Amino acid sequence: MDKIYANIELLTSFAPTINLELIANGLLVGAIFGLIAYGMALVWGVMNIINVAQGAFVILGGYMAFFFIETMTGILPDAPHILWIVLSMAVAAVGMGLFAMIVFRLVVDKVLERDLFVSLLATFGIELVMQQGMNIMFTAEERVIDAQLQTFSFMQNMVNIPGSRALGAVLGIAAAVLLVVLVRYSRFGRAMRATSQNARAARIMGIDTRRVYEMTYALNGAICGVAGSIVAFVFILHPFQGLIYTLRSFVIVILAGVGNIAGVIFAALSLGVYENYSGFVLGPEFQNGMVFIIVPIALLVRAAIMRRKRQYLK
Amino acid sequence: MVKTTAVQWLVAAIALGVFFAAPWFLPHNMTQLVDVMVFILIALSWDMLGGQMGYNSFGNILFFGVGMYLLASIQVWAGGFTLAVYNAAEGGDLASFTVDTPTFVASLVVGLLVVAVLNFFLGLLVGSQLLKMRGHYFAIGTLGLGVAAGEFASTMDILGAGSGMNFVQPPRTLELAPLLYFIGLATVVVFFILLRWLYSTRFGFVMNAIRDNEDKAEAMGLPTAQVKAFAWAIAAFFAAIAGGIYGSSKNFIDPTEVAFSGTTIGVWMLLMTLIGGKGTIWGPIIGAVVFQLFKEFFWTFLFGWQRVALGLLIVIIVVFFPGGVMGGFDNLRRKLGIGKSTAEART
Repeated sequence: MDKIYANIELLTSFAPTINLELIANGLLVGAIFGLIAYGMALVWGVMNIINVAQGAFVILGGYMAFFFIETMTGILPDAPHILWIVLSMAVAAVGMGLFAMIVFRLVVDKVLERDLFVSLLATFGIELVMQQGMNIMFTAEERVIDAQLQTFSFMQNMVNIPGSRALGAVLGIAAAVLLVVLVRYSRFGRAMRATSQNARAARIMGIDTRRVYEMTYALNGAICGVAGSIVAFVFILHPFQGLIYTLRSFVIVILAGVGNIAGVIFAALSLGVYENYSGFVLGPEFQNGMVFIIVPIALLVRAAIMRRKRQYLK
Repeated sequence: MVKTTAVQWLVAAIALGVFFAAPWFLPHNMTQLVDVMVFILIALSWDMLGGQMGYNSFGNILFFGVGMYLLASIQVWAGGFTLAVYNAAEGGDLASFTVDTPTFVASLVVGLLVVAVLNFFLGLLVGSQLLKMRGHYFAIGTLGLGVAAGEFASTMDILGAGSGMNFVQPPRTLELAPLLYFIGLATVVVFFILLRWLYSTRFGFVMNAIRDNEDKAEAMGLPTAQVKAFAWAIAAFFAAIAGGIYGSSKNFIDPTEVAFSGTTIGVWMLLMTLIGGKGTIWGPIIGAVVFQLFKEFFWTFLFGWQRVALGLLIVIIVVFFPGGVMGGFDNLRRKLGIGKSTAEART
């Protein structure tokens, strides 16, 4: 407890500039969480499925990027590193898109019309298979891509922002903008929105909804691939780290409300800041626990708000 | 109230006889047999909510883990040691914390009861809040709660933090596994009888009404909120006993791998219920036994790939056999045109 008081005192009176660092870092990681959550919101909104395997998709995308960069720097050591990082995103996106398509054909397609609990449990099963499979194939060693970027320091070294986080946030935001444009203006995006509004009517209008579902799930896989390649150089890769990304995106979508893109961005940035603060004040060992506990709390808050309108979360 | 037929009495008697005699036939597999009892308990307690009430929880592991830690702490306390000192000790020092047989057995049995009662109230408290949510919000909310509990347990120094906690070593002369097995069996019998009675009462019918249509049940003036919380509290009571027995039989608690393992035991309890058939009273029992056989088979023959196989098993069961064994019986009976389906005689 003394440590917590000391930390709070540090923030409020001794070194207020640390606040700036926490907020800036929180916003930067929040942008990455937002990208992952956006994929989840897409699948949830269009297909009415909560993809519990989201986190495992992210981690697998990260491993794809990691091994791509490792082999390419082995072959061409002189090429600029940043080129490989950007290319690895594309590789992970395509790879995970295809992977998600296979998963869709094998499993998700068969649980689409069923009870929500069935799809929840089925994607949970996929998460477990992927997590354990990655543990066997890539070992439980923690891996990280070295982005070879320096840390930016401001205000007499009181505010430090790692270059990798800044790059990650920039790439994440670029991917998100691309997505929003795709969903809003492309023909496929229009079909997707029509299906999510009323699947039966969309089918009558000649949209192949099954194809839309498949492409949505694959698009989500590609998003996870991009996010994973960012996670690989901003954070660490570990086979069992997936579930925390799933729960983070779930919290973000809950806070925002399904189908609310602006809300997703806001909720994601807030979650990033919240996480950084709780990690700083309570100590880093509490950070994961504080993320997990926000899930039931966020739900309870939302349920309480809805009850005032005589509605329920369901 | 549905009358118990002669066939049902016979099946129950045979099952009880087999379980009672099992330790004599499989003396070298006592730990696995204890696991079966633990699995039956958690599957039955999961089915109370998931099967009978339509609330699919991923978080019953919370009570399992809390029960485990509480029982370990009670046993340490009953042995006359201080929890902080005990958990600070390492390696060879642990051997100095010994207790005599009567103290050990008494602290185990009384401890289990105390743990169960405490978890009953924890279930009431958590349930009265969490059960306000429905459907998949409830499922993922409880998942978050269960995993969070593990993360917090691994930050508490008094409980041994991330490196876990050992149970008090049983006295050398005591054979722990058979003792745990029969405690488990007795609990299963009590739980089974309680559930059969409960599902035939008004309480049970309200549970079913909540599953079928909660809004209508509420509109009819049924006390849904209280029933939901009490049902979860009863489930918590038995899940905690299961956790205590499991931890005691493994003799070691790891906060995230054993006690609050949302991705292993937390999902296995659902899987067992689904294998057997959810919403039936025999389903979880059959499911637990079948699951344990699967698990032992995988662990023996699949060298390292067993956990992948278990994940695949979840996907396959969910996608292709959602009715489980009891659902299969149902279909068979309907085809042959004999007896009532279990859906009608769901007691």
